[in-house]
This record gives sequence, C-alpha cells and structure tokens, in this order.
Amino acid sequence: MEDYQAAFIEEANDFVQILEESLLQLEGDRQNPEIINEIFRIMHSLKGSGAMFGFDDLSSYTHHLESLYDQVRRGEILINRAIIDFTFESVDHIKHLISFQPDEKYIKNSQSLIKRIPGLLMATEGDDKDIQRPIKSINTEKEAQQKKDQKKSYFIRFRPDTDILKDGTNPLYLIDELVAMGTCIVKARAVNIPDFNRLDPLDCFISWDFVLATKEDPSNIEDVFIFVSGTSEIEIKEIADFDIFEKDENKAKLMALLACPDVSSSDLNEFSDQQPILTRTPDLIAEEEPTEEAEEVTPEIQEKSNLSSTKKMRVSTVRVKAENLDNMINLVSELVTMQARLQNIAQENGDLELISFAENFQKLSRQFRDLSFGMRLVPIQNLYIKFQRLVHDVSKELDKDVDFVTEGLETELDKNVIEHISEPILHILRNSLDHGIESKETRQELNKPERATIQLKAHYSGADVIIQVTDDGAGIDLEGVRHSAIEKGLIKATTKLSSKEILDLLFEPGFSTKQDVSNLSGRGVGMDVVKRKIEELRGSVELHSEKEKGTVIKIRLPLTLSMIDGFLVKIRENSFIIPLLAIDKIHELKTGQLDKAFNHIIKIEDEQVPFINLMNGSFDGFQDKPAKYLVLINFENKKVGLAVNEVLGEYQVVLKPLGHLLKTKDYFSGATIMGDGKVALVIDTNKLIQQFAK
Amino acid sequence: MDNSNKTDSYLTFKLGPESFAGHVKNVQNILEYREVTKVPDTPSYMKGVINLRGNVLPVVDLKEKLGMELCPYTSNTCILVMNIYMEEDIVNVGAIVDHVMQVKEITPQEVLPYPSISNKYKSEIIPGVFKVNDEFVMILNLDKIFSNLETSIFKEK
Repeated sequence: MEDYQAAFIEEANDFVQILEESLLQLEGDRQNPEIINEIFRIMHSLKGSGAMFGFDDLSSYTHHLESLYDQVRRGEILINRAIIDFTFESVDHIKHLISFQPDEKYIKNSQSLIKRIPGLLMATEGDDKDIQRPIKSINTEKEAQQKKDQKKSYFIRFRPDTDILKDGTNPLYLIDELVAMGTCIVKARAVNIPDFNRLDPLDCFISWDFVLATKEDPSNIEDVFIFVSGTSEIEIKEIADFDIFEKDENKAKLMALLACPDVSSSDLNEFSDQQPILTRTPDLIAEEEPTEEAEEVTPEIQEKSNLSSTKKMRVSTVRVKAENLDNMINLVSELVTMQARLQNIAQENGDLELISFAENFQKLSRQFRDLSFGMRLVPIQNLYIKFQRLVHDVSKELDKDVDFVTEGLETELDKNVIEHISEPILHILRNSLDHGIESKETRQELNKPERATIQLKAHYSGADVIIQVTDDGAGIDLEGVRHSAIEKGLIKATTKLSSKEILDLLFEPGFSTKQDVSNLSGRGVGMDVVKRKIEELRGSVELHSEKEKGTVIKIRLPLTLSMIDGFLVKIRENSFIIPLLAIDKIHELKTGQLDKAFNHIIKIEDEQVPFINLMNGSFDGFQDKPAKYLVLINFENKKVGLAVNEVLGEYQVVLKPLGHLLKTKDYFSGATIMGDGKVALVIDTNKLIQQFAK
Repeated sequence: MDNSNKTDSYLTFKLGPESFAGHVKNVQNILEYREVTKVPDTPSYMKGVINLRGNVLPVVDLKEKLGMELCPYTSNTCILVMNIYMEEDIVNVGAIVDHVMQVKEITPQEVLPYPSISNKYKSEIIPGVFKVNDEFVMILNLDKIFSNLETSIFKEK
C-alpha cells in the first residue's frame, strides 16, 4: 500500500502543478471553459484517487472544491478574484494534505477553508468590479428550474481512442452511465474493425452513437466522458429541446437514421423543427454551431484543453529515481575513464587490432556518455510555475501591477543545476518586485507604464547557459549603495570606485540597500547568498543597472556540473587541469624570464601581464621547477598569466568533488581521474587568481 | 540479549613498532599503497588524493597525524579506506598504515583502560587497549580523529 501511496503522492504533485498552472492562466482568462474544466477534472481526480489510497482528508477537501468548480462550470457562479485567491490558498493547503501524515493543524485548516465557500458563492455578484460581464447570462432561478425539469434530446457520438482498453477504461460502463440518464438508444459502429488477421484484441475499434432524452444538463453528459475526453472523439449535440421519444414515429425514424452508418448530427436536426422552440437559452445556442464546424473544431479544442494530459499519454515516459540517474552518470564517467586508459594501453602496445577495437569502444562510450548526460537535462520551464506563482503572490501583496514575461524557457540544464538555481532566481525576482519595481503612484509620476515588466530570459552561449532577469523598475541608486557601504564599513569614505565596483558591493556579505527590512526580501539573506549559490554551481552573476530605467541580472551557468573541457598542464611535475574556456592563449617563456620580471609583471605582445608563478614558493611541498610556459587566463576583463612547466593538450574531464576534508582548498573545483588511473586536480582559475591577488 | 557478551570486531595494524586497532565499522577495505596526487597548501599529514574506483579519496598519513616518527613506505604499507561518521554523513578517508595485521573479536571485558598519565592525546582518541599475545593494542577512535581534521587531537597544554 505504501508503494501505491508514494506513487499517488507523485501523481498528485503533478496534478497540483497543473492546477497552479491552470489557475494562473485562469487569472488572465476568467471565462475560459477549458481551463475551468481542467481544474474541475483535477479536483475530481484528486478526490477519487485520494479516497482510493486512503487520503481521506484530501478527498473530502477536494470534494468541496469540486462542487464549487462544478457550479462555476455550469455558469451558475462566476470566477472572480475571491474564488481564484481561495483556490490558490486551497492549492497550498492541498500540498500539505498530500503527504503521508498531514499535520493535525492542516486538517483543522480544512474546516475553516471549507466554511468560506458559501461566502464565495454569495459574493460572486456585484462586488467585484474588475470582472467582465459573462457571455452567458445568468438565468434566474425560476428559469433554471424550468429548464432542468424539461427533457431534452441529444445526439452523442463517442469514438474512443484505439488505446482506450489499455488505459483501463471499459467503454461499456460509460454507455451504462449514459443509458441511466434517461431514455436512450445506442447504436454501435463496427465499420472500423480491420481484417481479422490485423485485428489486435487489445485495441478498441468500435464507436457508438446515442440518442438520449434526459433532464440532465449537457455538462453532466460531458462528465461521463471526463476521463477519456483527452484521447477520444466525443460529440454532444442537442437535437431537440423536448423528449424525442415521446412520439412513436420519431422513434422509428431515429432507428432508421441511426442504422445508416454515416449519419451525422445534422441529419437529426429535422426533429428540432417539429415543435416550436420554448425556452432556448443563449448558452445552448452557442453550442449548436453548424455540424461540419463542430466536428472539426471539437477535437481540436479538446486536444488543446487536454494538452498536458494528452502529451503524457502520447509520449511514453518512465519515471526514474534521480538517484539511479546519478549512479548511472558515475558509471558512465568511470567507463569514459576506463576507455581513456584502454586507449593508452592500445597505443603503447601497438597492436593494430587492439587499437581499432579501442577506437570503436571510444565511439561507443562517447555516444553513451552524451545520451546519459542528455537524460539529466531538464528545461527551465519546469521552474516556471514557481516563478510565476511568486510574481503573482508578491505583486499582489505589494499592490504592484506586474507583467511576467519569459523567453527561451525550453533551454535545458542539468537536473542538479536546475534544483539549485530556483532559490537564487526566486530571490532575484523577489528583490526586483520589492526593491526594483516602484509603486503604482511613483510609476505614474515618472511617466512609466503603470504595468511593470519583469522578464526572464534564457539562452545557450557556448558551453554555458545564460539566464537573465530584467525589470523596468527604479534601478539601483549608486550613491545610495556607496553611502550604505561606507556606513557599514565596507569601504572608506575616501575610496573612489567605478560604477561597476559599486554594483559589486551589493554582492558583499551582509549588504542590503533598503533601509527598512521588509517582510519579503529583507530576510537577512542578500545578493551575497545568491552569488555564493551560483558560484557553487560554477556559474557567475553580473549586475547592470540604470537609474530609473531598471536592472538586469545576468546569470551564467555551466550546462552540466560534471563534465568540462579542460587543458592538461604540469606544474612542478604534477598534473593539473585548467578549464579550456578560461584560457586565452599559451605563451612560451625564455629561461629565467619570470625570475627577472619586476613586480610579477611581464611584457607579452605590447601588453603588461601580471602573472602567478606556482613554480616555486607557494604550493607547499612541491619540488621547484623552472617555468616554461605562461598560460594566459581571462580574469574578469583582464589577462593573468599562470606559469607551468609543461602543456599536454586538451582533455575531456569528468569532474569529481574533492570531498569535505579538502573543501577549504576552494581554488580547486574538483579532481578528475586520468587515463592512467591517476588523479589530476582541476583549477578554478577565478578563485586561484583571487586568492593570489590578496 | 546480554550486552556484556556481545563482541566487537577490530582491525589491528602497526604504526612503527606499536600496534593499534580500529573498529571494523570504520573500515571499508584495504588497498595496497599507491602513488598519491599531492594537493598544494594542505597540512603535511594530508598526503593528497587517490582514485578509488572512479571517486577521489583523500589520503592521510596516520603516523604523521598522530605525531609519530616517520619511516619510508614499504611493500607492507597499506591504505585503509575508512568510513568516517560525520554528523549525518559518512565520509570516506584513506589512512596510510605500515602493516595490516588481523581482525580480532574483543568482548567489552577484554577492553582495559588506557593509562592516562602523560597521555598526550585527548582522552577520547584512545578509549582503551586490549591484549593480543601479551602485546598491548591501542584502540583508536577513528571517527574522532578524522571527522574534523582541522581540530587538534592533542591535549591543550
């Protein structure tokens, strides 16, 4: 049972995500019936499977929401801000309920939330100014009552997806349900059944046509198909607003019509003319579009509304434990290392057969490596809901009108990077909303559009991914930052700083520009934490800002944490890897050139280049060697030389952590296993230069 | 179950002329000594890192860590791959020892107090001793020695 519950929790969490997504959409498009249906369907599923797996609190709570959305769906009440906010709160509440042992206080919370529902129903009319009047007019109760009592006749066509049986749905139950609603005739269509030799008994080839006379609302008929509507073709059409079976001649006529295999709903229209139209309501007219159009449009709309669920069904996927993926990557890394070793041995051995075998093995292992690294890539889109939800909540709380625009969220990053990047980005967004975007009044004074924009953009750049957050807010007040830094003792009052250096101060630990610590972003964690977190991912963060125009924060991240292109060098006969991207060029040195250099600067091609000589002194416990080459490294906008005594060439590196005990040596980003089984340390050039610049 | 009869297993090994023992729960496996990649700017007892089946294992010279007299490595020199329990994590560390002896089953009654007069180590480092063939074997608390390499194992004077 626990296993099933765990599976349910995973599924439910997916539902919650779709739910949040739909709610955010609903905010912008309050009358969209597809979104409302989607929400209803999720509530329904949560209720059903919740009860099945023993999540009774969840089930009973979602039951109330389901009824609420049922009324919304029927057009009896209108979506307004109160309902959306209530549903958001409920989503948070549901998140708590989806756990093995929900806290007692959450269960109590259910009660207080449920009690608010009647209030929502009352408040729907009048008090909400910003809602558009609905297309559907609300019927007075009397009319509605009248409508309900009257039987109507519908033509229903149900063409199930051929896979319906594999999904565990028995179409016969659906038919039973329909028949139970009123008077009904059913005609099965078997034209699609293929030749016996090609007949797969697991596929469903039969479709059904119904004529149903019922008092039920059309939406209830749709409900019968709620779980198959994503994949199956369903057409529901009112053919007459009375009970078509009342007259015997009609019945016979219907039977004759249905017997014809290519009958369409328009053929049945003639019945509707038999009696004068009594109480037609606009919503039903809206549904009665010309048949040809209905047939084309309906599946399309349904496909759209079920996009998320359909996708899942069409692309067959398997859930894999993240841990297994990690283990696989470790094994692949080992394989790559072994392969390098095999190549070494083959070259030394000189056996042609072995060499060609080693080469084939290399091709194979490279493909395998790319494939398995690809499996860990996740689009940034996965974090979108989190971001949008934050922008939604915070902008509401601060009463700021904000447009959240995104671009390039299909950009993929390693799963581990994605997991760790969401916090920093949330922090940046929170900062933008709180400190960056001005209040509505200020924006008006400054002649800025009242609705502010925050843009989140991602794209590839070489082996990196760049994520950029742009706002059109107040920008950063350089003087303010400077003053604050002086007050906090970070800089002296006399220190002259470029604007970039002032902006860099924001990343200093314990710096916060806003005087009053606000409820939102001033929680004592500043941009320094953002910077540190991003650097832990081997990324970097840059900030540009223009006063009154806005702020741009640019995050650069490596595509994957575990593989880099490196350059193998020897420093005092020990192998080190320098990331290839950091290297500008390599310069050969004359004997003793560095020793003669004044103040650790030498002249290379008309440029003065500062250098770090690790060939003697520093690097404790290593034998001194004369420097032969100077590797020029890009550091910020300058070049810095690093003296080495041998350059060995490019090397693809599987990065391994150095572990807790050596964590203090932070100018090594890790180590890698070489083809000969030995370990080489990987230099983090930025940190190394910073260390030696002190 | 009577706890007093429960035996503990210890791996015994030599550091110079002395015999030591570590609890087997701390020992994952034993490797022959192999070349270690140096890491610059580390304490001298931190010998560097080696490749342990595709992972990087830091290696410490245990004699140097304990402040004992050093001698060259021989064919008997081994690296003990240890599981060190650090707060919630288990961390792997390699320890270079001169000679691995055997695994001994010891009952709690056999563990004798370590005479603490002039003990230069903090008392929790050597919690006790036991006798094997008339020779004293000192039990090392490997978790305490390795869980935080920066903290001193020596008594403050």
